Amino acid sequence: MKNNRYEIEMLSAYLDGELSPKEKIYIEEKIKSSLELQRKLDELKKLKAITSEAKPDLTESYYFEARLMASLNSSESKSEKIKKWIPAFTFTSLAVALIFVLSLNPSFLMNIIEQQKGNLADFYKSNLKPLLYAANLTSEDIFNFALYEELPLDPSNSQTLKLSYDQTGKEFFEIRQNTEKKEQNNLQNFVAALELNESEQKQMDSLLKVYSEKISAQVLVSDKNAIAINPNIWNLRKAVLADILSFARKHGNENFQKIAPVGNIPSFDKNIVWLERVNTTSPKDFIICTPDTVFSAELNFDMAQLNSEMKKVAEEMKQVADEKKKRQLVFNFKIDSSLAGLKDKIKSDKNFKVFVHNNGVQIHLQEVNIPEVDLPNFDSIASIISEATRNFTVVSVGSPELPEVPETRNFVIKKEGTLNTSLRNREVNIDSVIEENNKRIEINNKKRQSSKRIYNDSSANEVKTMVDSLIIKQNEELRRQIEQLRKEIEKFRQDLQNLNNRQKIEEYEEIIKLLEEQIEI
Amino acid sequence: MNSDNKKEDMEQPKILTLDDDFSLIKQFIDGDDNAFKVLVNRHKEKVRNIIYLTLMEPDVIDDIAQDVFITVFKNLKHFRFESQFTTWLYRITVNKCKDYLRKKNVRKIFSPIKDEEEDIAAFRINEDPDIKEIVRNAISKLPDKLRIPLVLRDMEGFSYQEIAETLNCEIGTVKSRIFRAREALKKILEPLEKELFV
Repeated sequence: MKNNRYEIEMLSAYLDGELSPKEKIYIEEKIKSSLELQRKLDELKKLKAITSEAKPDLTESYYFEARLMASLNSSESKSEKIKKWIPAFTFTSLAVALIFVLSLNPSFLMNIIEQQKGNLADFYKSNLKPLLYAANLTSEDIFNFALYEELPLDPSNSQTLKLSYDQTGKEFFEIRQNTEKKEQNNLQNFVAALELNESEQKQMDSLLKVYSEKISAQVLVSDKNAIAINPNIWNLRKAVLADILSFARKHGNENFQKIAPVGNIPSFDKNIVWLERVNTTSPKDFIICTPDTVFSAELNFDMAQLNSEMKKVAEEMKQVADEKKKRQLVFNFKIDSSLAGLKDKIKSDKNFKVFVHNNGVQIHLQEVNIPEVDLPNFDSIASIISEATRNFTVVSVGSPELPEVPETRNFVIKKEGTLNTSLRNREVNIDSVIEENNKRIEINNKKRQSSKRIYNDSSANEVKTMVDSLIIKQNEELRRQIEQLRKEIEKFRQDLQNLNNRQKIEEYEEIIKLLEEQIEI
Repeated sequence: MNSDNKKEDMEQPKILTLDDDFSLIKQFIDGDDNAFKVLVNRHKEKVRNIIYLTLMEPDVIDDIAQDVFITVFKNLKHFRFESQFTTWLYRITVNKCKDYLRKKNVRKIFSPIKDEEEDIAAFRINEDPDIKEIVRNAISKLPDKLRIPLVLRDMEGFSYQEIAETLNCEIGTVKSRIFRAREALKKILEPLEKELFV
């Protein structure tokens, strides 16, 4: 069988004419003598014939060479090779060029950045308006600013600027959405508490008016959502408070002592107008806060011209009775913000640390110099006054409303009768005020020891009282829980006495004792 | 004038000889790209046939043939003149076909079974195939190892020596594989014996 298979395989090669002459002779002899091989050869011949005939007719391939040459050209063209290297070449040459330029002029990049900053600064500075006209600052706003360090940035009072000091005494300000509504009668209450007469009230009002103009020139806002703040505002704030208190002390006398029963109020000359000290040292660099960035830049404008413009507009506003027309009045003062003057004067952003929280933005000043002005620290008194004015408002709720009260400055006098009663009532709260005051002074003194700078401590106090009240609340809760536990133990003991098993009762008694000991602790 | 002469060359190809191919290759190496065109024109049909017979897929013939000649173009400068140009060319062709089959098998592994069923269905649609087609289908069912030597021998008329060189194997192996291919083919065609072998 094996031989047979070998011969059949030879037959296949024989058919193909691939045998050596010897093999050929051998197989031909075998075929002659074997019918099976003859049959097999016949089969293979037929098979070979049909296989050869089955060769397909291939259709001609048109443009075969043309296509081939095209693809050879596209894959091998020199331009293709160059194209591959173009990006690498471009980047390398750019890098080399940049290195070359920087080696010649190291400040090249910085100049470009500064120029861009200049453009940005120009964009935001182009439309700045003094706050007085942007937010319609009233005497009440200025008074509140003196006490609470907070200024409204728009007429609807939805955004406010809050000045503060951090723990190290460094200034920072906050622009935040105003969610809580403040009592709006602080000034009125204050005036009432001092029992000022009409002319004194007018003096007070004009004092606040002057500050209103000064302050609004220190805080400029634009409709592009930018705000420019002069660092001098911190000093102005202290000055306005000092002047208010100085005025109050001068005219309020005993009443002032009642609402601010502070033993060691910093002594000062009653005739000093603090504003004059601050006014002389107003720096030209403003801190400009925009939605994108915070930077300090010089805003050059003539303060005198600004003031005269502001007065002019104020006059016009008085004449225009219609509220709608008031809003249409355009403030006609343009700040000199030519780009050329700006380029070198814009300070680095490193001067500020910005913290954004969900209700606004906090900007901490790092290297901005606020001019040093020798002003007394009235912040502790400010907190007392704010507390006191709050007390007045609580008490004066019961006063009957007078029917036809015109909207003028004089309305306070017409309320005189009711105000007097409120003044008498306010003594109810005086103890708490003194207590609070002592705490504040103590904390204030401690802080003064650690830092020579003047800063506000009212926020720290607020936090402290909050923490205190929280602890008291927690203690009450604990006491209540312990009481409940005691009751349960008593009940358990009664249940035990009904049981018969002595040993168990003793065990439980021990557990109860342990529990009671724990409660005592 | 010169280009006209070459056109004549292309239109009436001479009988292929060792010398003709070698001289064309030398011309190409010397920088004459037209010599390459002549080479392509001479051998493209053979190459296309081999591809078709090896793969039994008319759709891919030209793409693979182009690929074969691109490889030839890139490597012709390194041709050693030790063997016939055709041996080298056919070896490249068969290798390209084997590459294609390998990739196809890999694709089959990752493609859904449905595709294969569709292939079979498409194959069955032709209700009245002629004998040639039946035989071609039968050949296509042979394993690559057996099918390729068989078609090179019976359809392309390669000698055992040429097949051995093209497939890079021994003559004895070619002989054995062709025999086994014929045996296998006969078995496949057995049900149609009466129609085919009368």
